[in-house]
Amino acid sequence: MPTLRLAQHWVQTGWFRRLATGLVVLAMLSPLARNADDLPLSTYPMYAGARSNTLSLVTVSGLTADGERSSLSMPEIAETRDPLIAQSFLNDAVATQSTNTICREIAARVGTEIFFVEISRERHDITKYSWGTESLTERQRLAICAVQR
Amino acid sequence: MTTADATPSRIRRFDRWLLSPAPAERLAALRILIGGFVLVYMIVNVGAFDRLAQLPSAPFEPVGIARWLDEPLPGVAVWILFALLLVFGAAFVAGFWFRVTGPAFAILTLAWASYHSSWGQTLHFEHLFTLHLLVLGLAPAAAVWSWSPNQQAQQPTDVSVRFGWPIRLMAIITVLTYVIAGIAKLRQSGLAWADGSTLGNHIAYSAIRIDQLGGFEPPLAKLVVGRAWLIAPMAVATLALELLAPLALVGGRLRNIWATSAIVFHAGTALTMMVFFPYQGLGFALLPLFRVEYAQRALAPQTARQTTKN
Repeated sequence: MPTLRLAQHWVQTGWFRRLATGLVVLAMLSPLARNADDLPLSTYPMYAGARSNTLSLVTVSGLTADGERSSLSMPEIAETRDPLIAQSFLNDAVATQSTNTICREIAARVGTEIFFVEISRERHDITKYSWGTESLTERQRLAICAVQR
Repeated sequence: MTTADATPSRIRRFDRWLLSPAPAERLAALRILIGGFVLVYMIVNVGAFDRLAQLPSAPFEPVGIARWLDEPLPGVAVWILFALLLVFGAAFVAGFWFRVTGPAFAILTLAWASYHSSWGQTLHFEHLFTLHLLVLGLAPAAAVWSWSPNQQAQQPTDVSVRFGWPIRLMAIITVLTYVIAGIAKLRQSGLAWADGSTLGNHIAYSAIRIDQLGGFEPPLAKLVVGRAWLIAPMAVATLALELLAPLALVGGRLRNIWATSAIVFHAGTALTMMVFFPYQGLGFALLPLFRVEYAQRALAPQTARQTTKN
């Protein structure tokens, strides 16, 4: 069985492990060449790209009976405690034009003090945030829905 | 010595390091610690299984091996995956029928990580432990410290490259993930990333987003954003930590300094951005860089003393 002997020789002399190490390293680096963020191999692009001083993000607020704006929790918004997932959930709602549906879904999860749920796109000024002043510069309503009791 | 003389010597040194033998206990300790972490991680994240079992309204954009799916899994299949992860995870940690349960738990974890990231947001905190489990699952990680139905099959083992090489491979994988993250920053933003403005904007973005989403504002976000004298050194330190990660493979003081810096870095991202990578931040990802079996050996004499007393 010369093939088996050759394989055993490869393993015993370490060539198999050297080759496997090289292949793993190449595989790990390959997403950089392909610019592909995948799983389990990735370019790990978190926080790599530049961001402008103006931030635009989709948010959700609750409105009380007095019309006062109130923050909702992440579990109320997206049934998660992870801000990345919650943000992705809202971005997808806008991308798929399902903000009205998502608004009603969120309205079913909020507390009794909330009468309306509003999904909006907000613009914030980072410089103002760093000064500790109000960073909100613009708010555009995308959907509003009443909380059913 | 000329550079030409030094190069083969460096390659030989790396080769000796790569193929250096290790005790079976070290690999088994990694199996128990890393497998245990992933098992607990799955249990703690049961809410994510519940969310995906209810078919989220987000579009299904499969990544990894989830690409084999044409459509999302039915809810019951997600719960079956959860149950299999618990059963095979426990068997993995115990080393029970490891030739089957080792690869199976690794593949199930890959399946979950793929499915979890298939909803428009790649969750990078699950990549590294998936890769480590794939190495551990295919390695002889249950040669000792395992619960086997055939206990007599567990003979005392010598130190061997069989146990050493998978650990080296896991260490290489750990440092490569940091290097790749550093390269991504340089590719997307160039050296300008080091001036801190990009990092400052990311911190502010995270703080505003979490504030708007009703979460806790990162405690140190306001302190660092807008303070160039603070944020620029933080950006340089982040890049240095990532790009110089291979120094950890040298061992000794360099490894200790790098590992400590990595833990501080992850604590910093939690305090400034409320983003925490538990596998890395709690140090589990760094374990292949250390002789983890020493913890058990340190306890062994105590056990022996107690036995003698009795």
